[in-house]
Amino acid sequence: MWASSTWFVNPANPIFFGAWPGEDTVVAYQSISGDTHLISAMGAAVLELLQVGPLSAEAIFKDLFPDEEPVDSAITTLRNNFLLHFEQLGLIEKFVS
Amino acid sequence: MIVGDYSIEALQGLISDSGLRFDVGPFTVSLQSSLDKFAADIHLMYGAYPLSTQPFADFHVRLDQPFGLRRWFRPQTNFTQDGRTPFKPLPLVQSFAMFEWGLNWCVSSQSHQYLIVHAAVVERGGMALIMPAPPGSGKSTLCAGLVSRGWRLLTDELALISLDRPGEVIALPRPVSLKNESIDVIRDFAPTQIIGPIAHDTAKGTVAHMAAPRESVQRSGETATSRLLIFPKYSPAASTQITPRQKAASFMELADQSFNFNILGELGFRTLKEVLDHCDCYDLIYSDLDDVIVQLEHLIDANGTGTADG
Repeated sequence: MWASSTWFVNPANPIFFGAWPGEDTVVAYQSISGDTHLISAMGAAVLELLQVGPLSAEAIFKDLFPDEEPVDSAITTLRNNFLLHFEQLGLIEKFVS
Repeated sequence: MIVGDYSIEALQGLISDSGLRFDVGPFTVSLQSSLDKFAADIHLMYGAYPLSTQPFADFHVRLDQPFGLRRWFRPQTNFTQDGRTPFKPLPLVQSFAMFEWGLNWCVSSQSHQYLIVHAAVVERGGMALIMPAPPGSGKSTLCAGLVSRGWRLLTDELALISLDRPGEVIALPRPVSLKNESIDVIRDFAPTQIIGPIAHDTAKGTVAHMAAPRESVQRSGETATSRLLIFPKYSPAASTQITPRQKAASFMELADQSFNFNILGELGFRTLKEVLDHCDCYDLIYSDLDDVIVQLEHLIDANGTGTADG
């Protein structure tokens, strides 16, 4: 069920980032809802990728960590700690083909 | 011509008749009142403000006693703006405080040409030190202390951030609100400052206002560039501690202290981000006004020659 799932940032509700050098957190602002979130730098990197287009957890992992093997535990962590959490917050949506 | 050019009697006549129009920062206020002696408070606290030459006023406000027997039994004051009465009446002795709180409400609810943040702002060398903080943090005491040592007052309550000039803060110098022990602290620290009428038993305890320094009022047309964002916290007997903090977390607190961040939408986000781009951010714990002022002077002077890269 998870293998084929992809997520994306709805282009109708784009995310703007406030990021400053040397900091481990980033401000993510959704222009339509006005929701403002303080997220980790890695979370912001994930959102930035999903703003370009739909990606699976595996594809995101490969982009962020090109030198590492996409082991199941790492993919599960990425999915549970980031993608599902961001989906709950309304930052991203699951792509239904 | 300034408000103080009128005698108190002439001012009373004006306020009780066609109204007094004067400029407070970028706003023109039209004030009318049937209250006895209210003109004396205005003369004391707003004497340095220029009479308006504008044909219209941004805020038409009135302070009057309610009709009926309440004029004599525990007399009260009503605040109205453009015929609306946004608040319940307060005791007559709290009239000046009510004027201040009412004017805060006018600005914060109707001035979306600015990003408005609940913060004090003072300036030194063209650089603005912004102090957002919840009530009870010691923000206003520190603000009063700084302006009593030569910093320029831009605001004690409502920071007006320009939407079209990145990081610029517009001056809105008005009386500084002091509460409870802070009143005597500032009396002792700066005996020459003008302290207005004292209102006891308000929702905030005992409240009095310190008049804005005359020079700050005269320089109302000058903006200042955001440079330091300080989150102050008064802690009895604590030594001064200034600790760097992250800009992203500071952004969130500033947004939380804003009156219209959500109303302004993307423009509000971009404007606030520009403020953070310009500022270094710190947490501040203090108890000794003399010491904290010296340290803040060193900090802003050093920042004036450096870069705001956090």
